[in-house]
Amino acid sequence: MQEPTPEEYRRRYEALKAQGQAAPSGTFMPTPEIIPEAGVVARETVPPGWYWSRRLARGETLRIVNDTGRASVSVLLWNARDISERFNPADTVKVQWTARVGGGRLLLSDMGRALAAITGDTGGFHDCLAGGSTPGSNVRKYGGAFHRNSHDNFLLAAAKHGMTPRDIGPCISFFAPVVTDQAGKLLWQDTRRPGQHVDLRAEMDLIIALSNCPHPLDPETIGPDAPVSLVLWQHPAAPEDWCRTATAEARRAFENNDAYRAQAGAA
Amino acid sequence: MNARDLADRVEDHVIPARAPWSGLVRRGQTIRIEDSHGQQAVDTLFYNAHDHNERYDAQATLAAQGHAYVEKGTPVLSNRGNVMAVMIADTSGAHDTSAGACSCEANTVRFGHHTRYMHACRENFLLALAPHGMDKRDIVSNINFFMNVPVLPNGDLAIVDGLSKPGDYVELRAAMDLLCVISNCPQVNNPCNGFNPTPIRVIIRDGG
Repeated sequence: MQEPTPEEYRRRYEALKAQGQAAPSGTFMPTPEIIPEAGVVARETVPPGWYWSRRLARGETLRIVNDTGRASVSVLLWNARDISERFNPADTVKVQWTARVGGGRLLLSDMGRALAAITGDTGGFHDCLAGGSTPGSNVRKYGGAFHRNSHDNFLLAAAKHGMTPRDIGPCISFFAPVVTDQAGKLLWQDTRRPGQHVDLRAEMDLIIALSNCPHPLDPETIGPDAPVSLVLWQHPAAPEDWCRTATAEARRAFENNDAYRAQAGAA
Repeated sequence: MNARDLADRVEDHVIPARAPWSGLVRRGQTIRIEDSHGQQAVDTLFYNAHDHNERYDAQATLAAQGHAYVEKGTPVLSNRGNVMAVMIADTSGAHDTSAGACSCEANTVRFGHHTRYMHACRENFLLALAPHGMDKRDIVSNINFFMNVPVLPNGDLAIVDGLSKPGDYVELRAAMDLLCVISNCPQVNNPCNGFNPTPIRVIIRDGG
């Protein structure tokens, strides 16, 4: 086969870009507002400033509820069968042509597979660019007053699954309304309301770590003060699963998931 | 660049198109990365030379400066919040740190399964990290010098034509002893290399 010319590569890219930045096809049917009690596997309340981690089985859905509307929740994900595969926010935004990763979108791994789908989202704004809080961001925000931070929370959560600092990559922060202006300045455009939730459906067996600390760009100055509620539940995927079919990129990521799952011992 | 500029250079490398490179930059030294032919993305990672668990942190760097791109004056932060380097010169502008490195696997999702067997930056990173005892778990979001990825107010994000002209360069002064790992990006499925990967030049000098 003859190698395409630079002009042919450019035409292909422009076609992919036009398609990728068009609205996803079909209608996103989010998970129900009210979770059927029969499907609930576990419930938890994560206190302000604290972390939580758990193994999630493929098909389980984790709802994160911003009860007060004041919290932001930073999240890391790993393939439970092979922790060298983990959440990759760069691929997540690049592959899906958007920094605004919300309902219907995928959280992609570094291996071109979907770790989770955002099957419900009443929050709308989530951040993949500026990360979670760190000891340094806390000093900038709070001066000498000690508050817990997501960097240290992730270290603790990962350690309890046998992981080390090198297993901690960049994160996604839910309920973190960061937008860029034309010049690239990062702005906090607060749209959070009490009771907003996101649903993350595990697309392979996962380890998830979650940190309930204010985002570094949140202008608040009082530190963590808002609990978040978690509900782990079983919500069977619809026969026509929008998260899987809305875009060509989503279909290809799930093709990679299917091929991986067909291997012996894989999730 | 003129000769006097570079009188104190201690290393001078041409990195072929599509190739990896790694090297040490000592505290106080300056690394210049020259886009010799223009429009060439240079995927770059930094590690503390004495403790590789301390490494570049793209998200902490952006959160601290409140701005979505790496530019002149940007302090490059580590995952421990320390300043690893500061960008002290930039003749081009538009350096991304949110879109990461290309990989064979992500290429299949972005461009189609037929692109799996094309060389990619993560392959270069893995080859460059191996002699230093590191592997895939040590790879984090990198800086893409000369890669133009505007993030629009509506969230749209895409790689577009680079702004760099032949000979444009960036310079970073190391604030700690650094291991610098580079992939001279081989990607031809998007405009990050003008659809034609070309050699770059790396110069390390004592002054700056």
